[in-house]
Amino acid sequence: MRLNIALLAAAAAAILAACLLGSTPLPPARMLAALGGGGEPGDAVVVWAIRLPRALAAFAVGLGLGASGAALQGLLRNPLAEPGVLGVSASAALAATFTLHYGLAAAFAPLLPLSAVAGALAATALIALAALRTASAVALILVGVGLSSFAGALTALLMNLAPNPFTLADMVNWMLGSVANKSFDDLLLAAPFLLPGLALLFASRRGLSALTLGEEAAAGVGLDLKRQRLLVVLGAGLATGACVAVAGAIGFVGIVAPHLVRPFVAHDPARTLLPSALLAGLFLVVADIGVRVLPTEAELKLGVVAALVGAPLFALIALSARRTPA
Amino acid sequence: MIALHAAAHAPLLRPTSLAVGPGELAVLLGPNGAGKTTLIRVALGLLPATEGEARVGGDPVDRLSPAERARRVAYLPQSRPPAWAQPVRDLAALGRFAHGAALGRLAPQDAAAVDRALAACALEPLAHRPAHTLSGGELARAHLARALAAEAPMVVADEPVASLDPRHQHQVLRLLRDHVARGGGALVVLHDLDLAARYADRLLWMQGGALVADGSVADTMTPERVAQVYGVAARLIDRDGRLHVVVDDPL
Repeated sequence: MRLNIALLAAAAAAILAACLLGSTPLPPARMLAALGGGGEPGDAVVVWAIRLPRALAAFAVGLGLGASGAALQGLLRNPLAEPGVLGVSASAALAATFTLHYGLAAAFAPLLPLSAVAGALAATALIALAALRTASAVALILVGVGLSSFAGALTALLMNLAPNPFTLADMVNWMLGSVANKSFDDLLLAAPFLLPGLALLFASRRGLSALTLGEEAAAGVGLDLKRQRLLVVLGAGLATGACVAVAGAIGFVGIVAPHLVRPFVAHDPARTLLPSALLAGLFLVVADIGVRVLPTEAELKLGVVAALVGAPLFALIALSARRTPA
Repeated sequence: MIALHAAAHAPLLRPTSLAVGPGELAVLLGPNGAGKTTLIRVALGLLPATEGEARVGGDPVDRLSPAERARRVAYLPQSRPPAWAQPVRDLAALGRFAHGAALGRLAPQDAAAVDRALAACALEPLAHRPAHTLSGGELARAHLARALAAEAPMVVADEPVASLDPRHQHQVLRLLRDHVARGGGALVVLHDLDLAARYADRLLWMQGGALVADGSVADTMTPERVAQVYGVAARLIDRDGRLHVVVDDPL
């Protein structure tokens, strides 16, 4: 509980900091005035139209990916499971790229999150099916890697066939993952998927505790396995799909956050869920501030930064998982 | 009064009928692959019967919710290491899952049941040890504590003494006997004929997916049956009224 409050407070502070920092520094007094609805009109635009929605988008995406990662790890009893690693994000990105490619999203805006969610749900269901057939954690991760590569290849094919450089640039944004130029409209479009997804994941959390015993014993203590799988697959599919619809494919966040949180919650998958979501949100808000203030020629993509931090940690976790359970 | 009934037919299982009730410790015997685990899973509704039915406490098991069934029967499958490094007390507390317990914030009656189970299994000194640091025997006791914490009328345990040293084997079977003495019932899979002869009220012999004998130790434990079911030569030694089974050679 204290951990959750501390993480929430830190995330709120990071979001405020995100409103302060940037190419035009805004002194705290002016930022707060603009946030409160007063101040100069220019400041209000910077805060309300650019910085706040962008920071909130990063936070929301972190919430979804952190919760999905923690829940998938609990369901599959595998510390390496995560929407990015399992190919769920890549499949959602493929579906979204497809709608962009054919200009469907321009015709009807909700098609973008809808297709991303559909891609994520299909991938999550496939992974859950594969998990039923193999007891091996490594085999399952390999299935995910295969799915991820295949979705990546199809996305590359679409890029190859891109009708013009603008579509291509759009697609690159999706592949790399970014919350730049996000508006409250983008958030509102994703919310109907993200919020129910998070709710389903939280409804599944007591069952995740039971699954630590293995499926047979979890069923023995009274867990409804079918319902549990359905909750997590639907929840992770909806949440991840919504995140991809907002920010494209951002990997490794969902693997690192649960790993860091676990020692503070007695390694209980149920109690890992909320702090993982908050920590991943905090991480993406901070990383996005970094992306914005780093004086690079072209702005770094958030997904690139997340992967630069996350991928080495993934390798470390994989190495230590061979010796002890996470 | 909770009893297990299974009159069922499933893959790997020939038509088999079984009923175990309160006040008895029934030991299920049979060689590897005889269908013991399958029979248990059918009886608990974890595996659908292709024919016939399984009932728990009089109700068809497929009509009970998983939680309602778990409140009637505590099931202890073959022991495996937990997926995460949780402390022993949390593992035991999962036995209260069907009562709605959530780890980290147990209701008083759940916490009391967990404490009783840990004490019965002599696990109090290990309560806060992470599961992956336990020896095989300690882990098996932690799982048993989970089953006892459920405080269900029936306990079904699949090889609960595998990987335990002799002292702890006896300890586990005594805990199950205590459960029966308090009016509970137990169905236990064992591979040790000597332990079975010592602790069972009733022996259920399985071979090739069917129940081939069902009765008291005195009635059913014979060298001929051991030879027929397990394919080993065995001697029965009656020492001061206690039956010992010594296995000599494979036939």
